[in-house]
Amino acid sequence: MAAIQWKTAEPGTQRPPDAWWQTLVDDNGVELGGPRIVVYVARSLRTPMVEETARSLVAFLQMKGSPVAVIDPSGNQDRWPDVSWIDLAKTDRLRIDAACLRGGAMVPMLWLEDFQLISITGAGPDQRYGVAAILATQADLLGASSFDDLASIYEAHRLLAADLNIACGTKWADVPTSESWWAASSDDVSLEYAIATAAGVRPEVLPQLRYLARHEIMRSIKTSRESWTLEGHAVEPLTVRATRMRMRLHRLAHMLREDVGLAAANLHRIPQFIERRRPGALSFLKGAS
Amino acid sequence: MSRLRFGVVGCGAVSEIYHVPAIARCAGASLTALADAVPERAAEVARRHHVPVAVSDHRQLFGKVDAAVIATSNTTHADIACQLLEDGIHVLCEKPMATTSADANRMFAAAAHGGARLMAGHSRRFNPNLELAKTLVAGGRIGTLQTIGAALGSPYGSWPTRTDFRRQRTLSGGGVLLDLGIHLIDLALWIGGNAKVLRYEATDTLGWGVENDAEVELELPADARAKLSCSYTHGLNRTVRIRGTGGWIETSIDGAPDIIFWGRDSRLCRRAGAQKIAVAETDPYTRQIQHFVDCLVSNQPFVVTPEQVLNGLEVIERCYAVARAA
Repeated sequence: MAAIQWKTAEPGTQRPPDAWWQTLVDDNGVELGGPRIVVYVARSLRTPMVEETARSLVAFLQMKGSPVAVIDPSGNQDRWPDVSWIDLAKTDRLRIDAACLRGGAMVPMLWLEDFQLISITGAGPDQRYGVAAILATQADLLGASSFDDLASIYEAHRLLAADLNIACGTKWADVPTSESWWAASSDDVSLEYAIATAAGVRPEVLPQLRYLARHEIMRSIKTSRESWTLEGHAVEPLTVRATRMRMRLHRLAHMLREDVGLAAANLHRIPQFIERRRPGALSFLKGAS
Repeated sequence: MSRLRFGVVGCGAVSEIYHVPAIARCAGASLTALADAVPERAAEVARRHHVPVAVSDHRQLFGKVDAAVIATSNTTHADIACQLLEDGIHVLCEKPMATTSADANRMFAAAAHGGARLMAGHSRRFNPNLELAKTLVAGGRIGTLQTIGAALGSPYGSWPTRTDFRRQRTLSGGGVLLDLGIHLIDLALWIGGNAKVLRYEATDTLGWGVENDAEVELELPADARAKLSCSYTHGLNRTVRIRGTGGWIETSIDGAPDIIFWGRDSRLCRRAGAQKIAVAETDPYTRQIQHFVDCLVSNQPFVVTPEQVLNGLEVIERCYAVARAA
């Protein structure tokens, strides 16, 4: 059973207390004396609070003497002067066979190495998913086409999931001065599920969780604060459905264009094909008559 | 920069199917001459591939080419290469580079004397899947190497040939071990390091006077082992399996578009298990020629080192000594 740990703080608080980091590390099996810890900071769901939370975590890990590195696709080395910074844009990638993703999943070579991963993301309303949090942030790492967004989410969950996933924000999505919150789990799906629940959405209707449920059995979730609610974090289900329909049509049109292009490029082979098949077809017809 | 003028000595199947098109595709190289003991064959291949010069003797290449690919019968490699190298022509020699380590040493000495460079054509090293396998092993992704298992074989005749030199010891210098086994031995040396022969078994089922089926077990550094099988009589699975203390790799020896990898400490496999990693499908012969040209131009060492070539031939000599003693 995957547990969710919530933490709230006074409005305007950008960092959780250090004591919470210790609890998270202890409860989620992060080894401070183990392999290097890589902190991944979200790109698309990034807020100042996400960055501050990441800084707080990095400072805590450094204080504990753990080897730390940061993946921050929105930033650069200058933003992280005292920590090893990994530039994913410049690292080679491996093409991993992926049943759901045409052309495979492009995984950074870094994933061949032994390291612990902690992902930090914001959460908020998203017309594609209703509520977006850790799953969309993970999928950003694959850099896949927007036509395959759900497949990317699944493959990123399969291949790139973190040891500890943290989401943070404010109680009211569009009010930065409202109460601060953090939620953490060792399981990315559980965290997405818990945030959706807190945002007042039935997780089963979220497109990303529905897609995942087609491939694996969803685990049960235990949250430390059932009554916690998030306001303004969800898009109306009808809007999500309309957006997904529009995306599906775009995808179909894209595939159609691709297929037509491929078919056109092979038209010249048709006469040769007929020429090759004609003797066989004729002898078959003769035999039949 | 002007292109290196290439010649090809020996216009058999491997030249026409692989070397000649590879040189044509290679940036920095132009194919200017072909040589074959049968002048009609040289002229025919030259006409088909638009090569300006066709000659019947490799010595006629002197002054016409900067580098040459030797793809003749095995036992002729050494003498032809020595003559070209002494004349300052760089040589990429088909495997087996020589049939004895003494001949190989003679070739390297000729290269040093002539101021030219010599590389053995172990084309399988240029298969991207095997290159990735080597990178994963060298990077410690499967822990400490324990075993390499590889097999390569198909009934004789399934590979196009112009001459039948493989069945004549005077031209081949050995049997399936020297012809196909050398690929496996080279992979084991490249991936695992220098090798010693632990066991060798071979049979001449077809009665050619050379072995048609062979199995060899090698001792590699750090107590690792390689078990290699090759055959002219039956199909073998043409795969290489590499196992370490913390993972394994499986891929095709022929150059497949993917490898299967599992590494216990690799984050990629931690939750999702063994993964199939796709690699680019590229022609290894083109990459081999490109590497040869790049190294000549930049004066960098070749990926196939003289030590590895000599160690490979010593392994084969040892195997043949074991067979003779038996």
